[in-house]
Amino acid sequence: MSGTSLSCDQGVSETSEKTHTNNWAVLVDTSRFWFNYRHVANVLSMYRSVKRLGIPDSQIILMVADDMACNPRNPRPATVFNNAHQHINVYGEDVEVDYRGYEVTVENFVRLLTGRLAPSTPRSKRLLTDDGSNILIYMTGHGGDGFLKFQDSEEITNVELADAFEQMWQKKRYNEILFIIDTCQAASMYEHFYSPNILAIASSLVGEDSLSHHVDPAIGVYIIDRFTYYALEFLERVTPDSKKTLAQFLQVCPKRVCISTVGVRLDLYKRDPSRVLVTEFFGSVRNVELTTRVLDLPKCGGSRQVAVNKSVNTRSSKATKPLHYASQLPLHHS
Amino acid sequence: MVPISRRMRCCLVWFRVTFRVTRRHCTTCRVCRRKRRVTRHPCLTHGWWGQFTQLGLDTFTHSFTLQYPMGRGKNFTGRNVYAILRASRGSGTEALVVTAPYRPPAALLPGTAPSIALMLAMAKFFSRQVYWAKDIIFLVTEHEQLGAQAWLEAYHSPQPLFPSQPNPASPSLSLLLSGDLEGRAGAIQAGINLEVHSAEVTHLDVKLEGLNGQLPNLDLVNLIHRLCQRENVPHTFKNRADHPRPESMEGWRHQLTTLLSMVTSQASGVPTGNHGLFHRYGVAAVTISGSGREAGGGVGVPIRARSISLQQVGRVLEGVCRSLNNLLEKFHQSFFFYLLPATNRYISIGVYMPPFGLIAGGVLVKALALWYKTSCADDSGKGRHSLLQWAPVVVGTHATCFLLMTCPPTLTRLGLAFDLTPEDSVGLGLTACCVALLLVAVGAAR
Repeated sequence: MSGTSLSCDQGVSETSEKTHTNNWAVLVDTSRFWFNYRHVANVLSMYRSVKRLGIPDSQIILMVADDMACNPRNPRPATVFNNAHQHINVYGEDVEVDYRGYEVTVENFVRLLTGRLAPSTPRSKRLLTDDGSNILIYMTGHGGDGFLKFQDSEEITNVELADAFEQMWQKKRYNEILFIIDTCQAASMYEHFYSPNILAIASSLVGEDSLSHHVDPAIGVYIIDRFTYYALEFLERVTPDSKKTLAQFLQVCPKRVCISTVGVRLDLYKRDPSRVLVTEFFGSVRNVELTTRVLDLPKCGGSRQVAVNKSVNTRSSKATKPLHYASQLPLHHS
Repeated sequence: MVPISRRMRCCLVWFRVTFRVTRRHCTTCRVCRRKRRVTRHPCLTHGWWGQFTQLGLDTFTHSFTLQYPMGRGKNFTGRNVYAILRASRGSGTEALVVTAPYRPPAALLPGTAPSIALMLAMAKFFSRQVYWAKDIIFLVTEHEQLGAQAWLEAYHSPQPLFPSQPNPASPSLSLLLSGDLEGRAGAIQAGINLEVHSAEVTHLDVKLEGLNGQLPNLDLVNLIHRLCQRENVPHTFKNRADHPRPESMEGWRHQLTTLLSMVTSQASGVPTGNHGLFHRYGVAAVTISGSGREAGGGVGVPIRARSISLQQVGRVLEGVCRSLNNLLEKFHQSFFFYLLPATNRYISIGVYMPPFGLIAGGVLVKALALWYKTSCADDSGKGRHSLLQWAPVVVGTHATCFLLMTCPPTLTRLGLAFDLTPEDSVGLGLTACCVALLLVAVGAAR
């Protein structure tokens, strides 16, 4: 990938040490029943953030274990809210759930990660990553020391998860993974990872419970968890051209607000988190350089260099407005 | 919160007005025209039936017969009215029951007209909500516990395939013929019995004890107390509020009295309300009762300038029903055996059973000591006593007990000759038997 460095142009984004070419997200909610409303709200809020920052639905795998929007107990049918003041309906009209209801099982999850799916599986249910993909894996639900509960009937252990990631590494299915888990005793899930280029964030350490944030009295259940609430507060202020780093994201939930201690695993990740942008995992930000100059593309067989065409006169006398990305989704519904 | 209370107020006013209207004597229906003397009570069941149907609920009546075994053996009939609010988005496999006993004006116990008005208002309010996952059955029973028992029996018994077939579950010798139900909902998860005697109550009393001392799950009791606390409604147990300083000596004595009062009511085996009949079917149920100022407040209940309105009671009920609606399973997490010294404290069976075990252990130790003593004294060669010499005593005791158990109907028939009521003849007859047996025992001892 030859990077043309025309860094003297206006509105040009810096090329940093990015090594990925595409972004994927795997967002998993593992619990069912009405009183686990907050896990569905967690995962749908993450989905909205990730979609807003540019990852298309074709590259998001959303696994939701139960249908809260159409649950008979929902006083606002076809909606899922993550805030008691009900600012945003995170269910919306363009949610694409890939694995729904009882399809969210440990077997399906591991098959999704490793790519060992039946030939008839549709593309929307496949993780079609390559060795240039940065994958954001977000899991939420009920967990314990060394396991995560799926659907109230089975569990995935930390050893299985670590082995699945190793299979992905061996088959060159990822460039880097950001693994976020918001459950009780979440840090136990990343204990056994041994594949390189994985940065793991857990909402609580072994022996601690992750707590919910607040209850909505009109709906009657807790509607968001603490770690995800503060993570979303941070992400709502991130735009596609934001310069916020992962190191800032790791500080998003200090103990005084989260009550549980956020655990981080950095030893498998060789880059410095303070030099990694949040949008490298949460967004699908391309290396795009914006320019007003006309470029001469080389002919086949000619010189391989792209040269600036100095003959065409651009409106360089008048200072043009700085160029920036248009926002793909509005931040808040009014 | 505020929009809900405004709607509730409108519903209550509507029902207070219409309820007064339907108390007039019904002159149109065939049943009332046939009965010349309608002084027992006006045809209210038809009024309620009409109002429930107007709300769009599935309304049914249920008739039951009591074959009274004593005295002349009269047959008493009764009628329950119940309406089922079907959850439009739910699967209809589970149900909740809100019930109130109907008491005619001449009844000995205080009237429950405000409970029925509250129930009708709740039905109207609930029928407009979309968040019900379970069906709600609104039940008005007649003849106190008989109506509730008959309805529950009919609900839980298998229905005959053809209407002309007799109910296979009810034997021909039964006293209470519960009949058949025309309409049912799913499995009952919980029941609330309302006994609000006045439109303005001083406090809400929660009654738990059921038939033979059975208790509902403690979670349901805690739910009601916590909701009352949230709605600032004074709540009591056994008509006694919590002592403000429970760690002091007065507080301890206050709690001890409450505890003993619960023990005595459980020991009597008589349910303190219609809710007591639900426990045998595995349904957690309690009675919420409230009386006006003229009944005198509960012990320790602070006297407030403003009484609790029906709207506040309705808010508590709404909270209870919504919490029960959110449940996925029947109550099974908390205790089924407990003693309550206060509304916010409990003594579980794991705590009160060991002392009882130690008392029984003392008796066992004494028995062992006696056995050891007699076995040692036996060595002097008196010879073994055979057990058979005690057989006449055992057989005689059992025969006497069996006779006493089956004598009440005979005693009442005997009492008819002396023009005594069945209660008096049974009481006098049993006292006479007691005295006779004592004299026999004293005579045999001599």
